[in-house]
Amino acid sequence: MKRLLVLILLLIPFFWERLGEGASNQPKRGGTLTLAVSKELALMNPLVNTSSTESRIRELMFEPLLGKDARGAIKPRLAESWEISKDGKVYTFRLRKGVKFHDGREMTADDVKFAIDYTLNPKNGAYGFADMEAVDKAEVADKYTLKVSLKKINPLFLTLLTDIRAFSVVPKESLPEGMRKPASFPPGTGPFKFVEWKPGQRVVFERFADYWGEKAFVDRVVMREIADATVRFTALQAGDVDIIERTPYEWVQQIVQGKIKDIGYATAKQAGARNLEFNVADPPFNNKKLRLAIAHAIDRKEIIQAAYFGLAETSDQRFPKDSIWYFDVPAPKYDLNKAKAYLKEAGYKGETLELMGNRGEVAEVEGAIIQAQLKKVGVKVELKILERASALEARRQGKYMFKLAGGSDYPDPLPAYSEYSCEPDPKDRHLNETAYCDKEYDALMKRAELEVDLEKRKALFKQVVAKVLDDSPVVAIGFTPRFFTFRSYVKGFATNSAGDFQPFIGGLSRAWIDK
Amino acid sequence: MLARYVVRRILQLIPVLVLVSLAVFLLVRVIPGDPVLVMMGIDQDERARITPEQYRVLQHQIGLDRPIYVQYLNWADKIVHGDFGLSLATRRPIVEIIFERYPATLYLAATALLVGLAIAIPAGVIAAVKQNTKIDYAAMGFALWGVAMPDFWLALMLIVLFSLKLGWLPSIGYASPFDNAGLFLQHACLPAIVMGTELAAPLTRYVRAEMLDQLRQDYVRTAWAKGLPSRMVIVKHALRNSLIAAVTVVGLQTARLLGGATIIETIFSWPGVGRLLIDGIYQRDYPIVQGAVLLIAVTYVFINLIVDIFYKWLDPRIKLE
Repeated sequence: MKRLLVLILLLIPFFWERLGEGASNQPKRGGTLTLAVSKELALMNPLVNTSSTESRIRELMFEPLLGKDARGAIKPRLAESWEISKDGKVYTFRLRKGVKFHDGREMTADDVKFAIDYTLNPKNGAYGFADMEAVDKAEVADKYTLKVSLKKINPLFLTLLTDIRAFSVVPKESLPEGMRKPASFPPGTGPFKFVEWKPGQRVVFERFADYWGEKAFVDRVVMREIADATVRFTALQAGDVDIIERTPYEWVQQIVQGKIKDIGYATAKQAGARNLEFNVADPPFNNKKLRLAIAHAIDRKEIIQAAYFGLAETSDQRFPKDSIWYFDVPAPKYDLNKAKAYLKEAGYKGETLELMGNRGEVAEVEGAIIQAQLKKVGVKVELKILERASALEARRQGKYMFKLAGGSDYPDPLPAYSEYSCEPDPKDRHLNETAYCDKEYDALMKRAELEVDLEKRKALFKQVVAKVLDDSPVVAIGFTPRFFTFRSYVKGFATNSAGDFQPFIGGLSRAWIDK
Repeated sequence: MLARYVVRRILQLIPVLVLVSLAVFLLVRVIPGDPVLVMMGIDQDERARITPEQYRVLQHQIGLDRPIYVQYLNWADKIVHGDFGLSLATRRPIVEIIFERYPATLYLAATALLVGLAIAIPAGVIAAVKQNTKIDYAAMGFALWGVAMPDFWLALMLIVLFSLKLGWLPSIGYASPFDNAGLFLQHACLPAIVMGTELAAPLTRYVRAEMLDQLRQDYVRTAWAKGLPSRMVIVKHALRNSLIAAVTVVGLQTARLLGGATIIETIFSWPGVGRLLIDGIYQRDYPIVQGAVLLIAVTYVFINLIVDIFYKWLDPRIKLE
């Protein structure tokens, strides 16, 4: 009997802990979450200057018409359903009923039309102008129905509408025309509403109790700008902030290895892309065999390991291996013998090849590794690290041999592979900095521009990718992640592959404080 | 006479400001970067996002399609009327933005100045009085260390020690001293120590050198001889005369502090003019950079003027003319 009692007493703490754990998995309401951002707000107009951090902050307050789930499929959001006309040019959107703006007014088709018209007015300098250029006109059919007519078929149109950079919905007449900008944010429809912005100090948001979707757990979100990444992480460790974006890789590595305790992390897997691009218009890389030689001599794993503490993932295409846009087609693999054979065919005689990169990025490290790798097959490489603006000019005018290039997480292969379509003047390059120009490739891309059916698009892009890999104007290296890190009492926070604060799948609105 | 002197000095300010404004106007335009893209928040690499039509409309709206001398004259004309224009990125008036940021810089500069003086004057005096003793070597060692050490490094080390290890002080942030003096002191402590140390290091050496010089003067010997208490001799006689030279150093350093400590403000997320200027440069926000640099230039000139007037007060023999 006594023994049994002892046993029970011994077991109590165990169950006690389990009970506690069970309770802590239940999200708690309330509290303030402080997020340290790398760059502050600039502007309180949700339709202008929607780049980078600016748009991530605004995603707390504003929403686009459509959403995208974790796998990239398009989902209803402010628009509940949509129909596309037979000719593919007219989109009819049925809006969700009962969606409230932060000022309590209900959202209607008039508001959506206003946001589209505002974006299309060149005087306003809206960021989504180029995205929405395909739109001919937007018409209100009834209170909850909007008809958008396109100038021509655009297979990307729905994808664009999942991104607030194209436009987000604001109340009708809430923004003045022209360059004068509002003194405060107009009301939005998102899970948080704007409270105050003290420049250089903080931006404060409050939970929106009438949000149409899943309401936020925390009462307030405060954002503070800490530009220096090391100080940002120190402030997190010191407890001055609860969560930070863009944590330096060396700290993340220590967290992963368990050397830093009480700090959790969330990964944005494909925040950036790294590629090696060739100037195809001029010698020496107008020689396809030389490009293929380089493509076979590059060891992606080693580059990722050294430049990104092993935290990045490799890919030999412009899309990650788990994407629906990654195709099973033959690609150059790391093979030094093949590389040497191609070098011989190319007639390489030991000339020095210049590799260009941007200063301040990891290009110095990546470049040094590529230099060493190519040395193994007898290729001499000289690094040429330029300031961003100078590098841009060199790329535009084609004054480089090959270069390390960044890239973003493209939502669709059309913009990604348009970067290799012919352009008229190789001395004035725009999207296509490689100046690769191939009639067969362009014909495939032309068809892809007009194809709306997913399966047919996949078939087309499979050919496109095969062609890119065969001609190798670009050698993809991989994708670089970005990390949020947070105190262990922050639960439920997740981000998407691009590192948004409030993606459609949840984010700050799903985060809660366990203390 | 003083009034006439001040007016003349202020008139001398005009050509200085014209030159500074011209220099900064041209310099920001030499840096590669495109203000139209800045205004739209478009990264240079994403230039394709802007259509030629939209580009022309916006360029015209901010007046960048006019010849550069017309742009300068327009800008100068507006400044004379107190209008510094709008920031490209935020589209808010420059005057409003700068005056929003200036108090933070001012408060930090004042705190740092106090810290600097509190360290440098006693250290310099004691080092001189106890010349060639361990105290002297310690003070000079500090001065050498303070001059040689990079401020960003000291800032990071202080954050690691006081915020991270000890947890005594917040690592970043700001509160106005008039809203919450206690909170202000907590936040200002670390940046003020960094900037104060930077100020104190050269100043300690100045004070020590001047004190040594004064202590050897006849009047000091006389003061000792007539049996004045040593505190009287050192503070009232020698120190007051030593400070004349120190005022120049303090004046120039104060002007620098008021110009905004760009690095320190950035590290400690202090919402001052220095950080505003740095952000402006990164974003190619021409009007912000122009406005902030002009303000810093005016500050320099005025502080110099104040230093000169202060001389007169410290040493009545100095003639202003």
